[in-house]
Amino acid sequence: MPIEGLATQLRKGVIEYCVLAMLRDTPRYGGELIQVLRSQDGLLTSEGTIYPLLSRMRAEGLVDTEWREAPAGSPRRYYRLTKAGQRAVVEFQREWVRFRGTVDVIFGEPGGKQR
Amino acid sequence: MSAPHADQLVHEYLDRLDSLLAGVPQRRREEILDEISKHIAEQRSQIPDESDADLRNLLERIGDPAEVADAARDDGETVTMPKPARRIGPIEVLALVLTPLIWPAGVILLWLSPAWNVRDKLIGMLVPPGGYLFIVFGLPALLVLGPMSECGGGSVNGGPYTQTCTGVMALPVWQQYLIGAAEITVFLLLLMSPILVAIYMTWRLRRWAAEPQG
Repeated sequence: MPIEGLATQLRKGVIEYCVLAMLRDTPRYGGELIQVLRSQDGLLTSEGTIYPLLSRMRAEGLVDTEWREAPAGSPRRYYRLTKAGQRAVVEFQREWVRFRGTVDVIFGEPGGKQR
Repeated sequence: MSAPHADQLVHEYLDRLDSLLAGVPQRRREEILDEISKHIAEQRSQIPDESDADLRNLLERIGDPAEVADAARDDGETVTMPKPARRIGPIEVLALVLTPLIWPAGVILLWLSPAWNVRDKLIGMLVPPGGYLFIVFGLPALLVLGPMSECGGGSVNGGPYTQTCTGVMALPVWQQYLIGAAEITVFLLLLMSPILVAIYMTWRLRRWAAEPQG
């Protein structure tokens, strides 16, 4: 697999949970999420793709939305976690820690089962 | 602040996105378009002196409409893209043609194909063994030769003429008619059964093919 495709695959697997995690403490609107993700290298290559993602997570019941007035312009859709979304974040975190540990071991942490 | 040309660029971008979102459920499609057009408007309002390059930069950061639409389509569950219909292959066609004509070959193909369920396959076997080849050539011969019946007559020693018959011909006339009618009915039924079975198989095949792949 070319390294570029690899990065895409990895990103696809985690971006959803990263967005959910960013909504853990406070509801945010799309532009805000983009701003945070923009500073994290490689997580969001095309910023517009966050909206299909949010819309899908809403359809799946992981987030819901509320309208809030913006300082200027039209009101914004704020996304917040549902109970199911909170559970998904917790489950992902547990799974991620285990997964990362396994990969680290194989990639040569001391005591790893490298060949 | 913004040239009409810039609005045109945005308009074209959203138009393209809209058409690429075909197949995404309507509510989600509207939601995505609405969010992205708001995002563009908001970002543009923060650019003090917008140039064409600024706008192109912004649209580029948002991403190719195809990429955004793909992201909406990534998840099979929430997108209602029609699945390709099942394909009717050579086995199905041959089975349909051969079942009424050459019985064993057609029925074997019938059982090989996933297009018909067990009940359909059993019905397919209702076609008389040998199919039309048997009905057209074999059956009339059987009917004629089958109930060997004959009559012979004559007078003995100048006595009254008597006729003696064996087989069907020995029966009363009305019973002979009854048997004849029954024979014709059975013959016609046998003659029609391959056609009826073929029509039924075709109907089942078309229903199978119309269902999405599963």
